[in-house]
Amino acid sequence: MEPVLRVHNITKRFGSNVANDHISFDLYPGEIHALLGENGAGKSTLMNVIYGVYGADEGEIYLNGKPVEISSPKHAIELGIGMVHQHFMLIPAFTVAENIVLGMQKELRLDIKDAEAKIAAASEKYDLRVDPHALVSTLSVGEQQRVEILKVLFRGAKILILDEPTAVLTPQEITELFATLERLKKDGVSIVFISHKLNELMSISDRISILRRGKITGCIDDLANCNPEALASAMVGRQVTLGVEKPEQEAGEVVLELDHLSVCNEAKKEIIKEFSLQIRAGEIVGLAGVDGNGQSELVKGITGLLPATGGAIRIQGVDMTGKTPREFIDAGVGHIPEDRHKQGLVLSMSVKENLFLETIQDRPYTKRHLLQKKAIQEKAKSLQEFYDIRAASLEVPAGALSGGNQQKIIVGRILEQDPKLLVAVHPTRGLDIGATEFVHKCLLKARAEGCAILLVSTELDEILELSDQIAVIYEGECMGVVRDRDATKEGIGLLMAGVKGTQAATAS
Amino acid sequence: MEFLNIFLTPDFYSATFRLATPLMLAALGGVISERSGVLNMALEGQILMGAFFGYLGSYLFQNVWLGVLTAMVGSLFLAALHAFMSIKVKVNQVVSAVGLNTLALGITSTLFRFLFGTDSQMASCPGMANLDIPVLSDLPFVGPVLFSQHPLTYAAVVLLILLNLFLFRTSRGLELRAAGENPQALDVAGVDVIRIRWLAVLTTGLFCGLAGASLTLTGLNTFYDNLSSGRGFIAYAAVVFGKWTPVGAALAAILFGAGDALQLRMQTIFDIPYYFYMMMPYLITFFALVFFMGAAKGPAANSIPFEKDKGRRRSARRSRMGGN
Amino acid sequence: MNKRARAMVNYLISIVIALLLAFAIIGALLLWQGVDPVETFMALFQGAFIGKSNLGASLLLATPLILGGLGIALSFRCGIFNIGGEGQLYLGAFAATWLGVNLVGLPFWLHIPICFLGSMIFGGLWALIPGYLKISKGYNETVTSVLLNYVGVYFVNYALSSFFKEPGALNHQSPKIQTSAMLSKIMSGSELNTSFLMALLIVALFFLIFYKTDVGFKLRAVGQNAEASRTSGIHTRKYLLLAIIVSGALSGLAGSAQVMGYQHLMVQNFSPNTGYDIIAVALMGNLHPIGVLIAGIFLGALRSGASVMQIMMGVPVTILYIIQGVIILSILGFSRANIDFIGLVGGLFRKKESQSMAKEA
Repeated sequence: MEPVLRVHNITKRFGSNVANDHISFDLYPGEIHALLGENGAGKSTLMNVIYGVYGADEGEIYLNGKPVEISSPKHAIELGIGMVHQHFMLIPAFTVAENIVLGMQKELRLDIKDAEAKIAAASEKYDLRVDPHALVSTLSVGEQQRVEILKVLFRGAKILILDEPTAVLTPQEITELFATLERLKKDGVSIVFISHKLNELMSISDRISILRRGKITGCIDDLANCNPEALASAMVGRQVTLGVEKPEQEAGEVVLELDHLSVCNEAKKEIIKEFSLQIRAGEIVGLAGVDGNGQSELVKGITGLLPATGGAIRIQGVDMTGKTPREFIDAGVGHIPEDRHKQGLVLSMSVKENLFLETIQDRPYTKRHLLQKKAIQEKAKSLQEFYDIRAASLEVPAGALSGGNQQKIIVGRILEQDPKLLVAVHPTRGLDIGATEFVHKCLLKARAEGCAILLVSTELDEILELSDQIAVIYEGECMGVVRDRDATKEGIGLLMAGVKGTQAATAS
Repeated sequence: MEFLNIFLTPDFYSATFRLATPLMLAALGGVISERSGVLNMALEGQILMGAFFGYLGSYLFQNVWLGVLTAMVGSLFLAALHAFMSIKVKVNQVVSAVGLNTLALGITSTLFRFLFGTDSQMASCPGMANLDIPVLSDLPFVGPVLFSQHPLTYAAVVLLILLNLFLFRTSRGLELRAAGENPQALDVAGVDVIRIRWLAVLTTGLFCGLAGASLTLTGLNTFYDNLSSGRGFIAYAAVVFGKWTPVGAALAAILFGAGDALQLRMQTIFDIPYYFYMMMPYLITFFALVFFMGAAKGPAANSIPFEKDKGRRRSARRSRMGGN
Repeated sequence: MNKRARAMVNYLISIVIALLLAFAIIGALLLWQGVDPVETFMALFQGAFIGKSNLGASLLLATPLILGGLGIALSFRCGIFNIGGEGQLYLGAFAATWLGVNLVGLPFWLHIPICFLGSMIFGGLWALIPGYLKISKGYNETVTSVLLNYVGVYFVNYALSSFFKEPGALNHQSPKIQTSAMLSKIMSGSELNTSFLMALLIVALFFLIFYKTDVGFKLRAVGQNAEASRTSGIHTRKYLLLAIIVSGALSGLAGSAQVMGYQHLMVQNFSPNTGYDIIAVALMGNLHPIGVLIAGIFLGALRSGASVMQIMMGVPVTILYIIQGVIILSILGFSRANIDFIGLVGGLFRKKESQSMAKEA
């Protein structure tokens, strides 16, 4: 059988950096071919070359055996290639129908009624249920993804590229997505599935190609005789052991107590409703939940960035309700924020300056308001060494560093303050395996030293691996707290989807 | 009593529409640009260019309609510069607007001195007369208010209707709005975001050219330094106040026009210093923004330059004045 | 060459190009008008720099530009686009003049600081209105501050025509301030006075606070990324409000320095467009205090030279607006595009590289 898509010897350079180095890759009709690789391995670049966003420097692309020059996304769409991006390309202020027909209409008049009817029919045909009249801003993440897929199919795509499609879904939604993909496969759609989640890939893919540092390092056809460890090693290029050593440890005193806490977001809408939770010293509590269920608001409530509108927050028994972020920091709350570029770092300031965002006014770094150059330099040097922050110098802007090293700046400066409570939000998002390991080690070290830790993550695997207890958040409410040893993926998944009852969490 | 009488005369309403015309034209232009995702605080400079070049064209060609044409060309020049700076070079759009407004002030007042000297002030150019629409203009009250205006006022109304249809009833309008909401989404849908934004900003220039022409060529028929005197900012406020919709912006412009008309009439009735009347349009606009606005949300991607190659070597290399 | 020096040189080159561009445009205009551009520019530079009195006049005109430019630089650095310098300057000057006229019998060492303080408070409070609306409610500060310019200027013009009018004067103008509120001259044969020294002092102070203290550190952090600063426990609102108030206060000083330094009374429209000129100064100075100082002196010199040029060559001073507009736009453009001029020049010898750099830039 001839491949529908064949990529031959593609090379793409950005300056001196080779993002794709002579990559060859093929896709057969009705196949799900996964592309596995770490962040920065070159997956996105390759897909952007196929989707016509970048031109390749070398190499050819064949569609159904014929060589093609894909000049733009528009051209890719015309050739039947569709892409579902990790960050959905939807316009929240538009309706589903408007989003789907965007860019498709040649004629000037916009007949939205007619479009809606056609979309309803397509949604029926592919069994992707969405309401064409609904505003996208009112849809759940899972529904938005259905709109994205429908958008691509509606344009007649025969080749579907999915970039990290499961990152934002609950386990149940993932199952549903996989069922959809299987159906599409039967209809003859060929799918490229990009991910870094090993288990998932093994369950959905027909073949897996592994990408490392811009090169294809292997293509595995025989998935039955393959294990996650082997895949991970191929992906990283060295032996890795999945899972971390987490010694048993008795939890100490209660450090954080949330007592029916309610929090409103910036738009004054109540997001967190009567949330109660306790975290003890030397304990990691994982907060599981689908993105956008109030994690950000809860974290901002716990760190004083948003005021509590009801209930109370106590830290080591002291009522912190209504206190400022500064007072929370002084009370021993460390915060590794979810978006390191927006909340964690001042990218244009130097690495050195970023290491002192919280502590600059303290002695010995400042005396009588004057900055003490020497003390700052020495401290920065020692932090850089201890946390292995790789930068050309301490004077370069933080924005010039890799994601992993940026995260080390944040982790380093927060842990250096000896927090009593550490709130770590997506601490490994977008990091490669090496940096992820490092951050996990830091968290466990803090745990060993008696720090209470709230770990917020959408990666269920990470939560299950590190946590002593798992709390699940759904639409701003606490669905329940489960001990690590009693937790199952399915049970947590049900709670994440809003199915109540402690039975759910432990049901297998 | 005398004060209330103002509202009973058709004269007041007729003046409202006349004074609202430049604001309305510029505000509609602003809506186009901002809906496509380019902040447009340079309306002021564009109106000034339109006003001067309209006057110049009408004077040189002794034809008011050629004047309207040159007004549009003059303001188009500034709009093109704005598009280049905002879309191509991707500078901070607020600050570059300050530069553009200053440049417009320099170009117009310098050329005015060069061409007309400093003493021969009141060199008059042909202007346009009011156009009475047959039959309708004879209606009592409504006739003089709505159907005996100068042609650019009718143009403003027609453009309002056309713009509204374009934005909400056509595919190109949908694409323009998408460019201002999420340009990346539009780009992956295969539509050229850069092209849309360029066209939108240039169209804004044409609208502002008309706005400028409506200042100089409808009775004043001459020019003086900084003639636009902040109308561009009031028009911008109308865009915000009208929540970025053509109808809203037009209504806001009419409201501000009414304020101006009222001010002119109150001068003859009340013994309040002249300066307070001069201040009134700006104060009304200010308070309208502050008290009735709430936290207005504009197009989501307004003022954010579109970068195709997103994510690569960003932020750190970005200069201090770069994007937001 | 280290990175910082390289960036500095690149920046200077970009300014030179901006200036060449501005003068090329003006030159073309002059040629078209049949005026000799070389002679005109000679007159401009002569009026700006040659001779003690011209130099004194340049520094005199530079003083408000430096003070106001510093204020704009501070607010822009903090992400607040305060375009309201004009109104803040007029109200500041008004307050200083009022205090200078009406406080009688004070010794100069008390009277002068009181007048300055008054101008800073008025300027600062006028800036606080758009600043507060921006910081607390998220209203676009650019529009509100511009609208307030008109309100402020008309208010001052009103005052000068009524309750603050010198009785019997033909023009709308204020009475003369008391001698105890007048600043002393520091250069014979020119009006240059101690306000220039004050501007130098404030530049030094600004530099020290902004780069050498924890307050400056936090201001810089807040300006670059307010959300990260707040997350790190910095009281963002406090620092933003501080920045906008100081910004307005400096504009106020820019107004009072003119009245107390040499005008000694206020006339209507006494300082037209200065509130916008200081934006050009701030940008040209790369929002850095030393840069603002140099840019302020440069534009002050242009202003003083332009009036000589107008007299000698009959070329209107309004060409300054063209120069300023071109400078603002070019500097914005160059700093955004981040062109590495040194690399470009070096790369000319290795042609291929220079092309790829231009592409990147």
